Amino acid sequence: MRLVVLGAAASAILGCAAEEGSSEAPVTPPADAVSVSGVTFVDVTAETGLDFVHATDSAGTFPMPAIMGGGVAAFDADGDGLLDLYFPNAGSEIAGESGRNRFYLQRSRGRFVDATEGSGLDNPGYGMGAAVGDIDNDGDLDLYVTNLGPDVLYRNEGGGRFVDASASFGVATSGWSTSAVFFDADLDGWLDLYVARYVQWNEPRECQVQGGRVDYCGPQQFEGEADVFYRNEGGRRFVDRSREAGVSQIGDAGLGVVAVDLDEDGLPDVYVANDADPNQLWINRGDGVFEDDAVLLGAAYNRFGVGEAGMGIALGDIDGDRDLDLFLSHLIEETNTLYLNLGGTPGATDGFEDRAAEAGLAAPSTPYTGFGTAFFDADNDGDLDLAVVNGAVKRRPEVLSDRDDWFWRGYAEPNLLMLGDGAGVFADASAASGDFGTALDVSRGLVPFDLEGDGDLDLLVSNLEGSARVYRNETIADPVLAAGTGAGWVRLRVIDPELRRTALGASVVAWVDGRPLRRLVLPLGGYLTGGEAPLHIGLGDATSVERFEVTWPGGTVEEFDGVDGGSDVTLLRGEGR
Amino acid sequence: MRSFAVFIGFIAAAASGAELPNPDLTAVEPRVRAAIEKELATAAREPDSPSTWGRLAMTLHAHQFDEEAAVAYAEASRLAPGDFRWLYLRANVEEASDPAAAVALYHQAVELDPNYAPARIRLASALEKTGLAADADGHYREAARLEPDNAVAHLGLGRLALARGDVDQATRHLERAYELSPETQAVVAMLSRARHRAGDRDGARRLAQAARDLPPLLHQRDPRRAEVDLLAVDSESFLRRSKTYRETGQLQASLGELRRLVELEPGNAQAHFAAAGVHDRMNRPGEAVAAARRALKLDPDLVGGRAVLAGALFKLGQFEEAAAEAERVLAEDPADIHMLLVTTMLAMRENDVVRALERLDRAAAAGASEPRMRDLMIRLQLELADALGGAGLYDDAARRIEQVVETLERAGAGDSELQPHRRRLASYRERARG
Repeated sequence: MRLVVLGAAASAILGCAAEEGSSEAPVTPPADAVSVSGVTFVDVTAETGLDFVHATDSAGTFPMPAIMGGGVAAFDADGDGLLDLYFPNAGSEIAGESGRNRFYLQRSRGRFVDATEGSGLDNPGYGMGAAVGDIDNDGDLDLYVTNLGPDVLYRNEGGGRFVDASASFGVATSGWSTSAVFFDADLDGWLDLYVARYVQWNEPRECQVQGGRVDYCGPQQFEGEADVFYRNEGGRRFVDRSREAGVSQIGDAGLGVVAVDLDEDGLPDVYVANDADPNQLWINRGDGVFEDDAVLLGAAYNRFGVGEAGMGIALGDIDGDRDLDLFLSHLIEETNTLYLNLGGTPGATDGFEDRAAEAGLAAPSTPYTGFGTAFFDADNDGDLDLAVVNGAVKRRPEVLSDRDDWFWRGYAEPNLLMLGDGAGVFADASAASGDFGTALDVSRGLVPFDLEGDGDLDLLVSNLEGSARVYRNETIADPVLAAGTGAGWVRLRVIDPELRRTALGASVVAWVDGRPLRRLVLPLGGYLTGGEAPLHIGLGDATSVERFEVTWPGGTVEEFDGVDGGSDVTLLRGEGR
Repeated sequence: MRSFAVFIGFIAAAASGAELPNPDLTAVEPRVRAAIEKELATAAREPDSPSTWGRLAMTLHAHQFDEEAAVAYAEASRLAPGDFRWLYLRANVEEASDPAAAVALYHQAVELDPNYAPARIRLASALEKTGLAADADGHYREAARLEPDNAVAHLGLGRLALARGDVDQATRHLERAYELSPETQAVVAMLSRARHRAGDRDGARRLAQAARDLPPLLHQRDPRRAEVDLLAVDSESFLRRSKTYRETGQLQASLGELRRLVELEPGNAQAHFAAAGVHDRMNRPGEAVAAARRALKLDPDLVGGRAVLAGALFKLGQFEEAAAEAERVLAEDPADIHMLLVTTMLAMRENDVVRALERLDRAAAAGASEPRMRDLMIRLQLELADALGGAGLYDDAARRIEQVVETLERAGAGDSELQPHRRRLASYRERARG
C-alpha cells in the first residue's frame, strides 16, 4: 500500500508542479483562525485579473440562443497544477471582437492572464459550453467546446497550446449542443463522450408570451434534438454510436448532463436534464446500449408528475447514506427539484423521489430561474452545501436590478446558497452570503474551486451579457490552519497511473470521525460547464481522515491510510490494500 | 401612456386609502393595454366596490401582472371579507412565487367555502410544495368525496400513498385516476412508478414508455379560475384556450376561441391554421381545406398548415393535390409522420406496394407518438400485412406484424391487446417456414 502526499508520481502524470503551502502536517491553529458563524463570499474578480465579459450583441432582438449561454471550463490546461479558465462566448461572427471565446491561464495563485492569442482556442462559433477530459491518455486535458453550429474538439499540445482535432478524431456534432461530458462508458480505459443537444432552432424569431409581451421563445416552439454519444476508439478517434446506444431515439431539449453510476451496478449511466421535457436516465446495460429508465425510477418528472424546465444538475450524497442524490435547477415559478435516491441493491435501485420541499430546497427557488448548480462544502463542516446561480429567460415580472443596461436588468437575479445539515435538509443562507447572494446578474455557469489553494472552496460564476465573477470564500479566517477547529479539510487527486489520468468515475469514501463521507471523482458539471478539479473534503471538527476507500471504475476496491487535515493527497490505483 | 381618467383615478383612489396598481404597460399588445386601462379607470371611479377591484385583479391576473393582481385582490378582499373568490384567486397568484403565503390564503378560502373541490386540491398541492405533504392528504380526500370522479384528487392521494410506501393504496388511487384520465402523462407516469415499486417491472416499463408521448397536464375543472382565463385578450391566450379546449375534446369551444381571434386579427395565420386542425378533428375536411388555404395564403412557410391541407384534401378525395401538398411537406420534413401515412395510403390506392412499404417503414422509424397517428399506422400495417400474406409473401407480412407489436409495446399496450397480433405473427412465421 502506498499513499502519496503530493506525490511525485502523480505530479509527473499530471504534469503539474507542487502547490504552494499545501503539503505539510497541520499546525495547531491560533484561536482566532476559524470563524464559521456565517458563510460569506466576497467578489474579488478585480484582484484576479479576470476580465472576461460575455457579449451577445442581442439586447432587444430576442434570438433564443442569446439567453441560454454561456458556460465555462476550469481545468489545468498547461500542467502547472493551477486551474485555468475557458469561456465560450457568442462568437466573433455574431458579436464581433467582444464576442470572442477567451482562455485565461492562472499564472500564479489567484492571478489570471488572457492567453487566448496563440492558444489555438479562438473558435469563432456561437459558443455554449465545454467539456474536459484526457481523450488520448497522454496526461494532459483536452477540451470539447459545444456550439450552436459545429462543435470543436481541441487536443492539448502542452504548454497551454491546443489544436483543432475535430476532423482527425471524427467529431462532427452540429445543431445546438449544450452540455457535454467525458466518461468511460465501456470501461475500456478510453474516455467516451456524451453531448446533450437542445432544440432545432432555425429562425431568429421572437415569441409572444401570455399577456401580450414579446420575449425569448421557449423550447416548446421548436422540435427537440436528439443527443449524441461518441465511443472513443483507442484514443485515436471517436465514432458516433448514438443510434446503436439508443440515445438518438429521443429528441428532447437537453441542457444539463452528468455521467455517473446511478444504479450502482459498476457501469456509468447518463442523466440528462431536459427543458420542458421529461429528463432521461440512460441506464448503461453494458453491451453498448443505454435504456431510458427515468420514468420508471422517478427521475423524469417532479412530484406532481410534471416535466419541468431542467437546466443544471448537481450530484452528491446529501444525507450521508452513501448513495447519490440528484438536484436540478429550474424555471421561475417551478421549484428546483431534489431527486432523493431511495437506495436499493446494486443494479436494482429503488429509484428517486422528489423531496425538494422536505429538504427546504423548493420554496427559496420559486422566484428565480436556476442554471449552474453544484454541491460543495462551503464551510468545511463535512456536509454538502448547495449553490445555484440564477438568471431569467423571460423578462421578470418584478425587476430586481438597477444596473445600467435597461434590457438585461429585467433578467438579472440573485444567486442561492443553501447550507446542508448532512442529513438532507438545507437552510437558505443566500441573503447573508455576501456578494455571491446579493449580486444581480444573468448567471449561467458555476464552478466551486480553491482559488488560493488555502483549503476552502471559492466560486466562479459565468454571466450572460456581463463579467465573469470570482467570489472568494471568507467563511474561515485562515483555512490553512483550520484543522481540528471545525473547518479542517483534505484535498484529493485520484489517479489511475496506467491510464495516466484522473480515474473519472471512481468513488471515494473518506472515513472522518467514524462517519463515511462519499465523494465521486467526476468532471466539473452543472450547466454548460466542464473541467477537472481536485476533490475537496471538509472535516468539521476532525483533525484527520481515518482511511479512504476507493471503488475504482470496474468495481475494484482499495483501501488507503488516512491523512491529517490540511493535506493534499494523491491516491494511486494499485497502491492501496 | 396612461390615460387622463386613470391619472384622475390615481388621485381618487389614493384619497380613499387604497392605491391603484401601476402595471408597466409599455411593451404589451394594445388590446391588452386597453383592457387593463379600462379596469383601472373603473376602479378609480368606484374605489369602494369590491367587484370592481376584483374585476381589475382578474384582468391583471389574466395578463400575468401577478404582483399588481395580488394587490387588487387584497383590496377586493378587504372590501368584501366574506367573498371566497378574491381570497382563492389571490392564493392562485401567490402560489407561484410564495407557496407558504398561498397556503395561508387557501386555508382561509376553504373556510369560507369548504365545498369547492378545486380549492381543496390547490391547498393540498401547495402544502406538498411547502414540505407539508402529510397535511395534504385530508384535503385530497375531501376533494375526492366532493367530486368522486376528480382524477387530480385521486392522483394526489396515490402520490402521497406511494411516498408513504403504501403501494397497495397508491395503486388503487392511481388506477382510479388512470380510469378517469388515461391519456395524461402525470397519471401514467405515477402509475408506472407504483407498478415498479410493486415489482411489476414489465408493466411499469410499458407505462413509462407510454407516458412519454402523452400530454403533460391534467386539466382541472375550476370554474372560478376559468373566469380569469377568459378575460385574457392577447392573441396567445386565444390560441392557448383553444388548445386546452381541443385537448379536452371541446372542439366547438376550441373553434369559438379561434373565431374570436380571427375577428380581432383577420391576418393571424396561426389562428387559421389552428382552426383547420380543429375542423379536421371534427371531420369537416371542406372547412379544414378552406382554413388551411387561408393560413397558407397569409404564411406560405407554415408547414403544419400544409400538412393539415394535405390530409383534408385526401379525405375529400382530391388525391392528386393531396399528394402534391404531402410531398411538399416531406421535402421540408422527411419524418413528418402524418404525411408519411397519407402518402402510404395514396400509394396503396394506386396499388404501389413497394412505395407504400417504403413510406410505412419510414413512418415506423419516425415513431408515432400521437395516439391517432399510431392507430392509423397500425391499421395500415395490418392492411398491408393482409395484402402481402394474401400474395404468399409471409416473411414480409410477418415483418409488418412485428412492427405492429413493437409499436403497441412502446405505447404500453397490455397482453390482451397484444395477444391477437402475436398469434397472427406466429401464424405468418409458421407459414413462411412451411
